[in-house]
Amino acid sequence: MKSMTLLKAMSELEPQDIDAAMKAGAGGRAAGQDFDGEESAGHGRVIIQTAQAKPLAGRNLRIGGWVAVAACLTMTVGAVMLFNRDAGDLVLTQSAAEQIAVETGTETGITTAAAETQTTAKQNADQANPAVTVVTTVVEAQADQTDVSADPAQSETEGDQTTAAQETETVETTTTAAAVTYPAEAPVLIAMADDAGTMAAEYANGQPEWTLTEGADAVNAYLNSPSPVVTLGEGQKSAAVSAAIMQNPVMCRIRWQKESHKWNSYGIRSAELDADGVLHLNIAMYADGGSYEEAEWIYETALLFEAGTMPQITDVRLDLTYFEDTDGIEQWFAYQAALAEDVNVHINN
Amino acid sequence: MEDEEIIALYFARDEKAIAETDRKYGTRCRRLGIRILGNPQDAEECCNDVWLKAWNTIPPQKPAFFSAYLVKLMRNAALNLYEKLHAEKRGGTQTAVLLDELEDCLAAPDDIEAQISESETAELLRQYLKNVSEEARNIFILRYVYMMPVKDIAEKYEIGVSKVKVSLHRTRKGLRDFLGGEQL
Repeated sequence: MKSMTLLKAMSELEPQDIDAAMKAGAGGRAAGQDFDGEESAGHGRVIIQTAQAKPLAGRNLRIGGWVAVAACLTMTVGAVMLFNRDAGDLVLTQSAAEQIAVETGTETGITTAAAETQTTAKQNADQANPAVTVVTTVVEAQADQTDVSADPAQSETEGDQTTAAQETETVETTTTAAAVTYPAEAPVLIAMADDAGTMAAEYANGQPEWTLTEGADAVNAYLNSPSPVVTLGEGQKSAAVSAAIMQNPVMCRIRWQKESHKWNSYGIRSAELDADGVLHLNIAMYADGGSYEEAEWIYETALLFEAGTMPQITDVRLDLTYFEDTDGIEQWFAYQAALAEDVNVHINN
Repeated sequence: MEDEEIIALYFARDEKAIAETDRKYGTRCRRLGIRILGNPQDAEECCNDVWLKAWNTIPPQKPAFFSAYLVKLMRNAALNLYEKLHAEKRGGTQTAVLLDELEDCLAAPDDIEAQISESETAELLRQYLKNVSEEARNIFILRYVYMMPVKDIAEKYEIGVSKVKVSLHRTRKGLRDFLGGEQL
């Protein structure tokens, strides 16, 4: 018997067992959704509001996941990315990433982490748009509830410094925290659909309900981007993701580096477009769905835009204030450390 | 639309049956196809084959578990295409990983085990899985029927990745012992 025979024979298992396996689980499915992408009415989609941006300050931070079980706290302080997008085309500007330093200190019972990031950016010579925006976020956390104070108005462009400090009491779980600011510039490619997979299939099948609003230049810019690229779509709709992001089962995929086959997926709490054309993405959790060897599929997804409704995006800011880690924050940082040559992440345990 | 209503459309030979099937289960089938084959084009081809197969088999068949029926058709179509496309070389898909994992279950030499047909193997599998815990069975099915990544299974059951791996390892080991015992 070959292993393929065994694998094929799995198809002949009891149908009720196959059905039950998909329906079983610890819950977490959002209403109207199946774990593996079954279509049903009522599931959400990317909501882009043209209203004013909501301030980040004063929100209570809901701590979830496994950390909450031990009444611990895992905090990740907000980070900001700015993507500079030419209004008429997706033209890259030079990224001026200088240094990202993450220092994490851990002591018994109390974890203190501080990160200081200095970001220098240069403006696009052809535009008056600022190249880098930095948001300063200070978080103080205790017990299972945290007030987050953030001032998104503190945006600077040249020689700006961001300092974030956090003190977290832990019971038994090692808790780390850091603030990371990514100076980045990239074209922004956004896909909006009920389901990214279906959308890609439609596109591949020559029957897209979605059309490309950008031309070949945009495609080339996307492929050659030296900086992070963001796509939005409903994605995998896994139970954990749906549970974490609650009302907006939306995913954001980011390829942090050119030529990387790794697309990181993140559950998004909200996506808002403010009056200045700044897209605020509030990322809730890391949702690694595997190695994503099917990069081509995601690539196609990323190139699709809703016909006639592509908003004018000038900047994108990623807010990680509510970032809910599922694999341990250290893994997250370890991944960051493996990133591009122009990004330095120092981890001190 | 409920499964029963969709099946009724098949019985009425209403072509809306295919559209409704695609709308409800298209994503699941395509995703399964992508896991097996690694690209959406091949998955889409298999998906179309599945809709045709469903159209041609319902009626007379009236599957009690429509989704499982479609999953079965999709797996068979995708695995056959995978074999055809990867006759000489395994690609970097979930299928290749799963095939490697299942090597653990093969206790006896190929020339002996090859004598067992796919249907006999399926019967042995059914017997074996009746004797494992419900959770272990579900994890095993999600992994090897739905081809789900371990991490997704862990998320679905809200358990650790390591627990899923341990469960799979034990189930595979038990299957190996069971198959060996049945065959020797």
